[in-house]
Amino acid sequence: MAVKLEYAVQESVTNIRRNLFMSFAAVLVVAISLFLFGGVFLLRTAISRSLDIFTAGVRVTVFLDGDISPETRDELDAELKAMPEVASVLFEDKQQAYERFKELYADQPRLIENTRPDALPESFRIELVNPEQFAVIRDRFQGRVGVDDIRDERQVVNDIFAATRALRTAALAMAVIVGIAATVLIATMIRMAIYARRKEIGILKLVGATNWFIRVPFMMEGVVQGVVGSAVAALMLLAARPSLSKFSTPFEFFNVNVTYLDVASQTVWLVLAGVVVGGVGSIVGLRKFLDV
Amino acid sequence: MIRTVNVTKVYKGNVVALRDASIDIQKGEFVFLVGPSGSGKSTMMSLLLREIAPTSGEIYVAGKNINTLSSWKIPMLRRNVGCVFQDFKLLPNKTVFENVAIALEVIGRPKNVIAEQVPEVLDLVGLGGKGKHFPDELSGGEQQRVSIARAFVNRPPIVIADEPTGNLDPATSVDIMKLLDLINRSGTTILMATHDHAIVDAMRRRVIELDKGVIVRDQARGVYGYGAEV
Repeated sequence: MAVKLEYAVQESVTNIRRNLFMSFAAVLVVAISLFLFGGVFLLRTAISRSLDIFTAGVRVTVFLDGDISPETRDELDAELKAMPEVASVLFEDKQQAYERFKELYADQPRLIENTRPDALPESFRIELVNPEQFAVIRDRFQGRVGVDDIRDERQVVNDIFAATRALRTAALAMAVIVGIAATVLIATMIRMAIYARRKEIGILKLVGATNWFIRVPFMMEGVVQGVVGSAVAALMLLAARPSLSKFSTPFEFFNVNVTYLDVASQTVWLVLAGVVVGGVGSIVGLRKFLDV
Repeated sequence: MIRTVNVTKVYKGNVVALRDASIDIQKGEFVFLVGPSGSGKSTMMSLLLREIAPTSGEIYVAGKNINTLSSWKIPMLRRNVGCVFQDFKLLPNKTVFENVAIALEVIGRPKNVIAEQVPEVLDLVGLGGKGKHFPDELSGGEQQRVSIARAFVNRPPIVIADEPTGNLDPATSVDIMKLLDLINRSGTTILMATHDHAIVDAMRRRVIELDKGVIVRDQARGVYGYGAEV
């Protein structure tokens, strides 16, 4: 039998209105849970993006011996370009190095005066596909003929990765814990709401209602509560956005910035989560009571 | 209309609620099921609604063997059997109209039909104009009328009533019995479990008596008391 939509809509609206307190409690539980969950994920997204921006410019530099032969140089160039880990290889000759040197030390004119382009080494400036993989380059080229030194800004990058990895792992762990807590809370909430109305379910079954006839209004109710709850959570995130952006990292130069766009895209997921949690929660919560 | 063949129901712990109970009720009959508490009356009612399944034996309701009914067809069985209970089983947060309308909504009747049939049946049970009240604003007798209206609104071939007068005073009980009698006269088969002597004696209908799960008497135009045949 097709469940009449009109009945189901009317029924869920009436139930929400008459069980306003329960509905309010359910919405609150959904809102707080999704707010915590969403906040943790927002932070994680922002941290990841900051990290991407920061590491995008990081290059591994292979400095070459002054007396390297052009053939060796070309061999190294070809070998680097053939590596899958390498995104791009840029050869920098003495003159280019000098230009960069001038730029870098623009505030120390005497140092520039006293340095001639000839004193600067040639180098390969390498961009990696995955900035974490610079060890691959070092292990392969350290001590090779014609290679003077490999500078990878490892220390700085390593520190950032270590710190943010811990941060991201912590954030994910928190999100998972909060998520589980939210699900259990919502399931309990729905179960309580349904328990309060088990008599009604029993009567509906006695007058010959099919299980779906009983389920649909409960589901719609759960979905409405989920959606309202997630909307509230989104508003709370919007309000918390400035505080999230102030989240401090051990690095002064490393800023976490939660944008409005982040909140907006997060909201889409929150609403989806609200719909799923509300709908599935109702079905699961109802299962026991439909066995009459 | 209702037929049981050697039905036995054993609950957990070897409690025998019904033993070899065979009854056969024809269309249009009004039958009292009597016996002391624990004699198996409620078990029989639950079996007929397939709230529980028998341990052995066969049960036919409205021509169908309900033991072999698949679970998704149980709602169809219950639509053929209106039921009335001692505790009314009304929804306290729904109005009288809504409580009765449920039985029609469940079978997918359109709104205009519901708007027409519910007041009609409320008139029939003597509650015309009380549709907007909530159950707790009504007396016990009125609440039972609502529950009878709900059981009868979709004109089922069978109505079963489990102690419908159990919570009512004698005068109100008589009114309820008049109502059930009226419904019976429209061709509806009624099976009513009761231990209200006065009612059974006054109505002089078929009486089936249960004692410790065994049918000890099945008598046309009977009275409550054992052996008090006319």
